[in-house]
Amino acid sequence: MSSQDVITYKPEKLVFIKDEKNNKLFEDENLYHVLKFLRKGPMTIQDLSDAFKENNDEKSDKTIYRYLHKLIQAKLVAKAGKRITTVNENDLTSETLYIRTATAFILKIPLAKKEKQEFHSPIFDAIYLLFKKKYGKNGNQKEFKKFFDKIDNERDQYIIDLYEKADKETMKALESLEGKNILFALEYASWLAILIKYDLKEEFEKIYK
Amino acid sequence: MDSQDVVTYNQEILKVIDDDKTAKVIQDENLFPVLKYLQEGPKTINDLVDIFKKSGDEKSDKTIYRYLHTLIKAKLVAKAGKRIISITEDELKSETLYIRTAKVFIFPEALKHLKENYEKGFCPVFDAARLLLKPVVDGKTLDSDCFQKFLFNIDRQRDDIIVDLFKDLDDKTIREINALKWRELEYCLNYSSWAALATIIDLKEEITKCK
Repeated sequence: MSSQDVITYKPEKLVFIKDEKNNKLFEDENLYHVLKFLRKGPMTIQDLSDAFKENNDEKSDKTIYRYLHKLIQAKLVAKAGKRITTVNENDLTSETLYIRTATAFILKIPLAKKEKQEFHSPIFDAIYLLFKKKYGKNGNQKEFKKFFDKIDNERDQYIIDLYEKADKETMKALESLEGKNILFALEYASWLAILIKYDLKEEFEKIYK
Repeated sequence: MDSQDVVTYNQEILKVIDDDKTAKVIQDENLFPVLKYLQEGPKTINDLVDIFKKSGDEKSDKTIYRYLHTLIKAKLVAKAGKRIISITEDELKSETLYIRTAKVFIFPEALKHLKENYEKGFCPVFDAARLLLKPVVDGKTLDSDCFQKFLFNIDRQRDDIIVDLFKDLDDKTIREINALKWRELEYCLNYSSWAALATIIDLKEEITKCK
């Protein structure tokens, strides 16, 4: 038997997951496992079934199909292509391959909502109050939230850019890290990038007069 | 029926959680709501049963007792005092009140990196960050030793900063912080520690030194 994988789908490098529904999907242990297995590359249902078995957690094809269906609906997984296998001269099979829609997913909750030119964000409000003590009483809370929302969005963009621009050496260093530590590395890099760009001390002095 | 609460436990404003075990207890799906409900003040088991019921998630008093027991062992909750209830002239009842040991719990995640890697003198997370930063510092590669020292140093400072930032908070700030959900609080801590760091160190200059 010889077989060949044909991949026609091109995944993204890094995607932010910001909506609550998709965030919840990652809390589902089974779906999380499927996503983890698919890190190795495109897989068929049979491959996934073997991977679960190796984990001492046997699942039927039907169950795995159901997981994949959920993940496809959430746009976390896609049909990547087909595995063509020659069984004998007269027999050819083709199985669907599944792939993650991105090499890396970053989970994030929405930090601020913009309504009528104003930012609603309990998180930024809390941070504003924390710094108020240090800088004195007359701060401009609206400005603070606006500024924080701006650097937050820029930081997300840095994470995407820096990951996309990562060369071989950098990718190798990232791949040697475990899941959560990859996020920490991106966090350090993106914050430092932001803090190189903006003089926060100066910005805060403008906001808290 | 008249009742009065007597609280004899002294609650702290802020407690730093720096061990994994306690951090796990806080994140436990069942225990977290108990901590959240106790934010409003000391409560009896009956109070908690009522609150859980109202939120559409019925729990028996036995279950709640078990939750509280786990939280007390983790030093996140304490017996605060008693609620004394007059039922009739001849009958008096007393129920135990439970309280959070601190109004705000914080968990500096940075501390963990430090503990694991400080002795080794090399943290792979920092090194990945150094390489990721290449496009930001004009394609130059930052010196590894210099960058490691720099990040170990700011990591330690971030923990001190956060503790300092949460000292002597006014009631309004404490209320706002306590109203945050678990993950929102994580973001709040993370963002404020980075921002505070930037106000005391010139990070741009420090990084330039590693070029």
